[in-house]
Amino acid sequence: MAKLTALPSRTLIDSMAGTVDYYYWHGIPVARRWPRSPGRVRNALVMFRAGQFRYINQEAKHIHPDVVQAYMQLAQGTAFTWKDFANRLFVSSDLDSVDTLNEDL
Amino acid sequence: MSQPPSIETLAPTDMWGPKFTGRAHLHARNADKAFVFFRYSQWPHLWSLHSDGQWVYEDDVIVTESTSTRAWQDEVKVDVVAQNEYGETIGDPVSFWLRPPNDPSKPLPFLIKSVTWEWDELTLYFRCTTPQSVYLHALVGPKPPWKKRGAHYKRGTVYKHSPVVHFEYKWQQFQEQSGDTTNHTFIFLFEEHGQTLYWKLRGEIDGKPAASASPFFSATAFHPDQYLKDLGIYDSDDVFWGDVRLTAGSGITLQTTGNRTRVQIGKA
Repeated sequence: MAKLTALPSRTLIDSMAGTVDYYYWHGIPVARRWPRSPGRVRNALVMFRAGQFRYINQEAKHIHPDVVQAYMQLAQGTAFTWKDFANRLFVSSDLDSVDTLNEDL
Repeated sequence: MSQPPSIETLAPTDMWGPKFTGRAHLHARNADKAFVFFRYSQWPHLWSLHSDGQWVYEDDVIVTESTSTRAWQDEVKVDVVAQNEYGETIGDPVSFWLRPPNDPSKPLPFLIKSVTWEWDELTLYFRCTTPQSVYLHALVGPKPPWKKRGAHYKRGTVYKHSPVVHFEYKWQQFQEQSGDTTNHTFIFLFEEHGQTLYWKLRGEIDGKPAASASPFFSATAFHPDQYLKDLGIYDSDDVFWGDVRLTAGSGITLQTTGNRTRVQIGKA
């Protein structure tokens, strides 16, 4: 991966698709070799998580706008998108969340 | 007349055990007494083939049991070919994709795909659907969730942008339907006009806690009778729920959108 001062033009990015991958990493413009399948069966946990990631990205197009709005409110004020929250809440309910019972409310 | 082989798969949960862990296990039968072969492939360039098939006669039909020779970690493509005793292919091969079985040691996820809101005075009927069958319960509270900046480590570097979401709930409420379902109904009873409740959904699948959680939903009860009485415009005898009659030019507009009723006061 190489850090860049700025991303190149859209035309150049499109022309290099399949060879060089341009994207933002934590707000830093970077470039890397186009990702490819390693050509072997990977770790079972990697495949398990990849399947979940693929599922949530496919289903995200069909989620009701009210549910999307709820994810967007959750992502407000953070560095994450609503899809990041949809993904992490799908994978694990205990991830970075604290629920406390308080009957005196 | 040759027929394509018909395929039956065993129940996914039956595949997990010392013998079949991570391997596809198929079951096929062919009415032409043909020998049925399986070919498994996970990627086109990795043809990991062949089953250790055994052919058995059952009710005058040849049945094949097969276990893949490779671990089944992703969707697997299966080609089923029927051949006669001379090795000639009968009919067209049947190809299909199989999803890997669920590992019972891992909690299963669910996803809220759609929600509907229906008010009946101070009662909210909150309905949602999930592609997976799950028994949901809601953690309900009057306080909104709040986020606190957390930290996570990645390759030795600390990133402090990962939020931790805190939520205090007052009670748990289970869905109205019994058992694992794909349609879920919750009935929230609000105490007064203007009260806001927040909730998130968790669930159980096959009696085990599910992996997932929903985002936070919220609703504010609105009762026009109470609201207009608070404004001092009408007393309670004048206005009834569902029969609000406002004269033209009164300057009050009621608009119901989704789970909220908006009130606009002033000149339109």
